[in-house]
Amino acid sequence: MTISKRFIAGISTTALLATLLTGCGGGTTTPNSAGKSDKPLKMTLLAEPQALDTSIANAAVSFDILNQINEGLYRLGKDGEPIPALAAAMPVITNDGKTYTIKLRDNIKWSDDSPVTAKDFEYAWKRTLDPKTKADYAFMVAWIKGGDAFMTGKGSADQVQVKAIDDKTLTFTLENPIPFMTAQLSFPVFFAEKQAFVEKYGDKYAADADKILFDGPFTLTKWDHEQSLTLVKNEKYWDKANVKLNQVDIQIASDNNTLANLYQSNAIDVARITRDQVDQWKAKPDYQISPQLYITYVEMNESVPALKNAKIRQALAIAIDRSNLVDIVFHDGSQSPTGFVPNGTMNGNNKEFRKDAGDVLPKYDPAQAKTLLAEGLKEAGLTSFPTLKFTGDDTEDGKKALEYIQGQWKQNLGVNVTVESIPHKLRIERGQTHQFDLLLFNWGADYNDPMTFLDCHESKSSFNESQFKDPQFDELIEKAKAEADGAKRAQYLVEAEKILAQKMPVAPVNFRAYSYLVKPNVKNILFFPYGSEWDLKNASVE
Amino acid sequence: MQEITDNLFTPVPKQLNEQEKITRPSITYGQDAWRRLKRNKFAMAGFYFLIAITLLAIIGPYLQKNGYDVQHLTARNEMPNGSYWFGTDEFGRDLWVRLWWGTRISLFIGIMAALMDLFVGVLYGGISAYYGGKIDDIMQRFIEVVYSIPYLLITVLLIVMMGSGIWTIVFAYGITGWISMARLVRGQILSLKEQEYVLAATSLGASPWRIITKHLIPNALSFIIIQITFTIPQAIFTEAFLSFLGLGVKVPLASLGMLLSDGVGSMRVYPWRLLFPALVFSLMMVSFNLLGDGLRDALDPKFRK
Amino acid sequence: MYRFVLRRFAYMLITFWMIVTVTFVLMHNLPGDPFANSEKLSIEQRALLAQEYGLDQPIFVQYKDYLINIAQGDLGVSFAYPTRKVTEIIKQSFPASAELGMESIVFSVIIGLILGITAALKHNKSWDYSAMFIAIVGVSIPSFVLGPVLQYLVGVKWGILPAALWNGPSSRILPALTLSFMTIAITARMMRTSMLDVLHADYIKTARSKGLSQSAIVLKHTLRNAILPIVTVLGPITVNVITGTLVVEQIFAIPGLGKYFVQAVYSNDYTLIMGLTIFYSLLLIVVMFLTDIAYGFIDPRIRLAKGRN
Repeated sequence: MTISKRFIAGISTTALLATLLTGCGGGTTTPNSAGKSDKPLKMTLLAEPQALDTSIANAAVSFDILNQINEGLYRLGKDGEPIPALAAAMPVITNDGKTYTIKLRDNIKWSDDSPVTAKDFEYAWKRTLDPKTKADYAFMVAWIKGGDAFMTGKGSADQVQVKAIDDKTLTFTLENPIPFMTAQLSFPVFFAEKQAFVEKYGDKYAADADKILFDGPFTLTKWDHEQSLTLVKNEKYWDKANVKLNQVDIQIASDNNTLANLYQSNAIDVARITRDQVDQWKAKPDYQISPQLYITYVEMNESVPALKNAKIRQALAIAIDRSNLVDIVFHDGSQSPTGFVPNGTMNGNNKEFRKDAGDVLPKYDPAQAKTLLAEGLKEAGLTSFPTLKFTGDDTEDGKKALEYIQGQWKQNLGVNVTVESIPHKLRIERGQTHQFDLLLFNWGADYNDPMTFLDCHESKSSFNESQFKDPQFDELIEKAKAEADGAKRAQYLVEAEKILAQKMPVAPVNFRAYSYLVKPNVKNILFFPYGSEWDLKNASVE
Repeated sequence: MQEITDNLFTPVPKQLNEQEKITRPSITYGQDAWRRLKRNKFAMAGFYFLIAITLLAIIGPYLQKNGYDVQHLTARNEMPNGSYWFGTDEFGRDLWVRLWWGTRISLFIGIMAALMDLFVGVLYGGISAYYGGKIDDIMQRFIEVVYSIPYLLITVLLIVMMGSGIWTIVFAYGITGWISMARLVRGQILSLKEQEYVLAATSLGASPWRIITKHLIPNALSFIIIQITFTIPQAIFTEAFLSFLGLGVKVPLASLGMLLSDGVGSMRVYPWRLLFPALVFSLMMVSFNLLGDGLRDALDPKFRK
Repeated sequence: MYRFVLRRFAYMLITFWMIVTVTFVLMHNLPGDPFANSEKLSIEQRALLAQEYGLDQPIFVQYKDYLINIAQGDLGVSFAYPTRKVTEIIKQSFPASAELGMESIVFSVIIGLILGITAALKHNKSWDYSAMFIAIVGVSIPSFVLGPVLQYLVGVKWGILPAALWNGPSSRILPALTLSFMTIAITARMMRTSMLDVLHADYIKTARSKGLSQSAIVLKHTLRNAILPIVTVLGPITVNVITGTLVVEQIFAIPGLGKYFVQAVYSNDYTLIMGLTIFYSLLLIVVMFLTDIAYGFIDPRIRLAKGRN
């Protein structure tokens, strides 16, 4: 018996020793750039960047990196206003608001020492429009006259109205005036690309760190797919004097719990957290909120008889206690909605739309809701409200929102709905083919203007999932689209939104925000409400 | 020292039935197995615990007047107290009620899995083994194809196509879950088939169906029972996994897996939301496993004492 | 023997082809399209993209093209990651999953061995029950509960090991341990059963009656014979490990292949879904193939029995 005990003891000791020896490796290894004493910034991305090719990039994680290693004509500042980056100054715009002329800055170089020219921008934009490139965001570049034709295969590249007049001057003409165009030039799809370099690598272009040309504050020195990226200060960058960081180590991690744990164990300096961790941190200086241009609302399909009546829709909308919802379901700094356009959206006339329009949504009022429901049912000739299906994404947020709203309608209105959580793609499909009764819908802006939140309710819009039809609303939107005067345009949009508030085609439930933890010794990271999440150009670690 | 002579010995009268006397009391296989099982304290503890959990799952929710989906928005995230025995979640729903509902769902899934094992797995394995040859080959090839498809991929594909929910999960299990049972039964029957009583039954003219169901399967019964005792926790475990990935039963219902998943998220702030489901879940798993191990020991004639 | 191997190989191919077909059909019945931003694209734009990718062709044509490509080893380019080929993605990410899987199997085997041997040697006494109890406890806590708990306690609160990520040898321990818990019960049970079987065998009784000491018996005879059947549980262990890596990789932010499972299906990434199915099925098929061969080697009865009837 003693021998077998010893045998067992032998195995266990060996195993233990083996693990302990490997365990003595210590914590995370962070390579220090030779000689510099500054600390690297340790960040995370929620997923592997899908592509670092500015033409085809389509996810926030890709935009995040692209914003650091490349740059556009303009860059967004602290308050979301465009600042000249590769451009020397703000653009010269004609009075009809359609033609832009931009002069490039001096001494801007690619990482291979060749100069960044206006031709690089013209090439990049045409490449994005080219159907063969299969760019998701080509529709943005198609705002340029001739762009849509080229993108849909009905025209040629030469008919696209963007031209490099000389090495340092770029000009383009839009199909319609767009008040936020200058700010939009900070979006990666409008960055430059060097033709010779792209053609040299073909479809391997931007697939790895050595197949990208840099013209931004940082260069990408290492890219271990799915695992990590390393950014190093770009010594050839025109504004390198203002770049304080020498190195950024980015790890890829998606689980919320894991991110919070990594942050707490000091393995990372910045973490995005959600509902469960917020309570623990909200009193601490690490906690920051970044409101987003992102709205969640309940779509009500007007081809369902019970939902055709505006009073019924109003009843459903005001039966939801929105401030409680935001606190219970999202609990991450998200705000109770006050309209159909989120806080922080600029109105195209240098003012915040929401501040201009005020609070247009009717207040939470269960008693009034019941009255409206009764009236609406009578008008619609229905004796009772049928049991409808309430569909949403099967994400955690989606499910919780569905549960909460279901509870509210039952409690406050006596209305029953069956909840259906489905995968995102399926939800999209149902929405676009109008196969739903009630649908929980999310929309994040790609550009900072109320139009992105309003023109989807136009009757002709392919994104009009609830099939809302109001000729007055349509008229206002069309007038706004053609209007070059910022103030007039903003006014049309405010009035259009008021119509939505009366007719309630959709019931807003949330203006979303993200919660971040940032180590107190990390300064000047910019967080954005749309597009890429953060900007590290002026960040520093003390 | 006395001399040992013949007259010191008298012969014992010979009784015929003495020779035939069996010195051990006769007990059936079943009784013997039960006796051995009873001696295994761990297995018995598991057994009683399972009975207790099943009872609680049935009557638990009725001990409180709240439904599992009723939201008490003024009593959110409460610690266990007098009116909410296990506390409340972020919607103010009673966690005691939700826990026992969750147990019901998990047990339901386990039972469905066991039934599928029984009706599909046993018959499939039995038929495959009995006929042997070409039929066996084809049936085994089919099993291999199904077994090789990564279960998770198929399940996710199905869920995306059919929508999540309890029946999709059961359906997904129905596609791949019974294979171990089929394999096991086939193995057993392949060896049982060679026994003489099967030869006797065949020569007496018994139909294949009768032989399979009346002779072969009952003799493999012990293995079938043991396998089921492990299938149930495995199915419940798999469902917990799916819940974690967000592919579980439809809200506002909650299985144990979903409660666990939710609990992990709020573990640092509201630890009781993890504690109670975790306790019930692990004890349930442990009980099934202990019982299964105990049954395996008890039903194996080699270890008869 | 040769014919046996050849036959198994042929079956492998047929199985493989059937899996590819079934997955292909299921996959193209998924709702929606594989474009990441499809909710922002108009119907015309999506039709254009579909045309560029050849998705508007009749399904039979797509199937045929795909089979031809597989035969040449080309699994296509991922829809979600347009600059990377599927084979590249798998090649890049699998090593991490494989390493994690191997390490967890090592942990599991060592711990399972210890527990199983103890249980067998002390059959039906308290050591037996306790050892098996410990083995089972590991199996009763799901990895998505155990992982975060370990991560918090060991990684954050006590700060002994890294909380997550895949940097350096010390970061392997927590994830491998978490994953190994799922298979410890299997290995412990198997060790115990086969040890008990062997211990009761006649040749052991002979050895004992010959006067061999207990340790000699255990080391020389029992152990060697009892370890062989680990081959039989290779299949279930591989399956468990594959499903397990999914969760563990997410919790510990490990750059492995597991996360693509759900992600690829949810984003309708056709090529990646097919690639993953093919890869994992091949893995399982090969494991089963090897198991069968090894089994045929170990137990001549199986080899011969296949030829009968």
